[in-house]
Amino acid sequence: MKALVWVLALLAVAALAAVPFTLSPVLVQFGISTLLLAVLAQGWNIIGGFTGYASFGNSVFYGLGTYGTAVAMVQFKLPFAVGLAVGAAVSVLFALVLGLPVLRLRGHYFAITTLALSEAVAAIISNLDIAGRNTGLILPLIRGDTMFYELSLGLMVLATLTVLWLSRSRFGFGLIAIREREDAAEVMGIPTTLYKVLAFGLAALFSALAGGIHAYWITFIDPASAFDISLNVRMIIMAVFGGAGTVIGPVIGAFLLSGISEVLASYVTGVASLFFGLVIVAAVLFTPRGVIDAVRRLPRRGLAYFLDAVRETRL
Amino acid sequence: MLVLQVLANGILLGGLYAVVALGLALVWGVLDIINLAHGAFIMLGGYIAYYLFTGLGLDPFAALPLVMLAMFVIGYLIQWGILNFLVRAPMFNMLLVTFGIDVVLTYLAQILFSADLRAIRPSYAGSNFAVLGVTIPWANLMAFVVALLLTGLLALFLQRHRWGRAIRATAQNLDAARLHGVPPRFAYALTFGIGAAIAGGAGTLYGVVAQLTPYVGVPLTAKSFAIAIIGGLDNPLGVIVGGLVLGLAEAFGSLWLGPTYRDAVSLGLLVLVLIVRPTGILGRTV
Amino acid sequence: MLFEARHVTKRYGGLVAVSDVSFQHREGEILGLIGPNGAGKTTLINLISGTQEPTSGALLFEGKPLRGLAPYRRAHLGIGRTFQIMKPFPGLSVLDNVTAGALFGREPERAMPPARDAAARWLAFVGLADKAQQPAEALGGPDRKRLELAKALALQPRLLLLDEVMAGLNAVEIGEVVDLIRRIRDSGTTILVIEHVVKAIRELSDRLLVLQYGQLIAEGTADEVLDDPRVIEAYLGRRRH
Repeated sequence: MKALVWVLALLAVAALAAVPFTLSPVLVQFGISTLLLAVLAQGWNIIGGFTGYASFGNSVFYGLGTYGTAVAMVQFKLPFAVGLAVGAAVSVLFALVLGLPVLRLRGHYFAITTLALSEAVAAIISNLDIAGRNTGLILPLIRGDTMFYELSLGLMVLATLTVLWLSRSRFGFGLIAIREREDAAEVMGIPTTLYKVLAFGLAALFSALAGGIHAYWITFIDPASAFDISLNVRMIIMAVFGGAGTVIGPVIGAFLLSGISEVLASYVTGVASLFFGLVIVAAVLFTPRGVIDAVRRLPRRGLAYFLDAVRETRL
Repeated sequence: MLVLQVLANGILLGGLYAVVALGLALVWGVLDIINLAHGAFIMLGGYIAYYLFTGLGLDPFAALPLVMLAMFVIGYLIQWGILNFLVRAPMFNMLLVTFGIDVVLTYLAQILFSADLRAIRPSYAGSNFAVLGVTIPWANLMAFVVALLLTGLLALFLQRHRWGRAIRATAQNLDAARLHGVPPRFAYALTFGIGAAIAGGAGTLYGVVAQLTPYVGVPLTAKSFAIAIIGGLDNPLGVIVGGLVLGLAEAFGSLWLGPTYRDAVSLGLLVLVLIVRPTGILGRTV
Repeated sequence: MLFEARHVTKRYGGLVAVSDVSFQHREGEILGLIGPNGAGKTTLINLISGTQEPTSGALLFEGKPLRGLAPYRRAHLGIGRTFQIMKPFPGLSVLDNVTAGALFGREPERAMPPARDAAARWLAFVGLADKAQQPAEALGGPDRKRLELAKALALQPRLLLLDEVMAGLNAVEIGEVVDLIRRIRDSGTTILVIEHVVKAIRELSDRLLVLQYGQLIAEGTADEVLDDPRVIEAYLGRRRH
């Protein structure tokens, strides 16, 4: 059984890796943005799904990764790999320093503070000359969708393996205990502050790398797109829709929801975003525990699953 | 003189901000729901007032009750038909659904009203008077007064009216609300409807003193958070303090740091307050 | 001397929860802590386990001051506790609740499989082996008490602080828990136990401390203390009303 899962996972990765060589360029571009969204969803999964801190500030990590990479490449003419490292370093440092005070807050207060943090950083960036102020930066043009695709796939696999490790390691176990009951976790010998900050940093690392890859691929960045709050909400919805705190759920959520919004965009051009909003509402209402849970239980429970899900959470 | 002018601008802006945040603070404090569609409600209210003005020639201040009634119905139905089904779900499910509603309303507005800038400009818009060399636009002053009036009326309603007391009881626990003879599902829908109505009123005032686009919602939601946090959730009048703090901070932030730092100032302030005093400036210490 | 409190005081604003309390706790001893509700018993345990810091005074564990050490550091040193209001990790299985202690306590296991094995042994010790795979939320009252005990034991504490682990249990269950606590002590753990069940505390304690309004009003063997008129008035007398 276990071996079968691994074989299937390897086959799935191999099939995904073959996409640029077999399918259309449009699909490759869709693939890049979907894979990067899956990385972001996994990043959120680490701090939100495992540790239980509903972060609305992961878009800051993404934005700092974006800008770190772009500034290094445009203003200092550094190569892409170095830029990526700079972006990741800035973002992780930010997470570690800000995490200390911010992770003392709980529930809604944490959510709102991280939200405000991302807006505040966006406002500061749009006043910095080195970051191109409001107009943003233009990165050196490079043609290489295949390279970006494989890079994104590699990052997604790495993020998922990290989450797999979390689900089976002492560190990940500590994070789950913090999610379940933080004060009890602390007297059980878990260094809660350290673990939370490390989880925040890990989430920042993956979000920043995704941001850096996206910046070089899209070749143009500005504060509005780099620090887009709705991107943060999309990572949450993907993680929650797929199954927060599971290993593969956020990836499935990202693929399903990206697919849905892509199909909507091509059929009902003008109202795609509107439908996406409706999909969010319906998804959360009917599968509050994520699709993984739904797929597992749907065959046995049938349509009653959805009714039970609603009944369980209604007033 | 410049400082006095900026002070006046900040205070007038602060009054408007108080009513902008009021609905969000009410729903958050009573129902423990953070309504990410709050700013979209304000936007929608503004557009309703705009079309009442351009279509029927109705003065925005006269249209205010109509707008609030319309938004009350919308808010009531949203809570009754959607959000009541999520009350016992994990916190971020509610955040996500209200965000979904925000997306739907924003793009609905984009389709129906277009992305052009709109402003409600009755004949008296643009006229002003001067006190001590400080210029005060009549429209802004009226918006300020109406904003404070609405805030005071809500406080009175919560204190005195049977339903208002039931709403406050709901904030304590659901059984207490039942004792007031108000079923929780109704109390939730009522509260959310009132929150939406106040947002509609805020949108009308916002349309008079500023410009509407379908996208003003999210920044207004963020500012409402900031105000609710600064003022604390214990008292509806807290938003007046929060609104004034934010209004003055933005006015002086623009003056001293430049207008591009306006949002950085207000949001930085929010982060600072949250880190130092999570219960707000006026809130009780835990 | 395993543990010592020297002139420990805890104030909340004007309220004094613990007032100038000093006592010593010998290695291998079961020390009972009794007193009316609100006497400061749980506060004292909070101060020792580190969820709160004393306003003044010193707490010494193996002769070293505890001040400034976070609760998790004290758990690593070997201070384990239970909560009066039980705090299981609700979404985890009974086994995983205990595994947390085995992973992060004194002399912790670093890998999951041996930690789970250790947790299973502690569950067997408290008599919960057959419920290992149930979600912690699903447990009834008495079983929750056992789980709380197993979680603390998995830390392999040298000093175990038990906050009313018998409240709400019937006579038979109390007898079982008393027996369990004796066996824990016999395996070399020093125990401080808060309890309202007088019969159990008399059977268990080598020595008794009595708190009233935050002050230590009596100290001695169970028989001496429980016959002290001040104690009868302060504590037992009140309970009769």
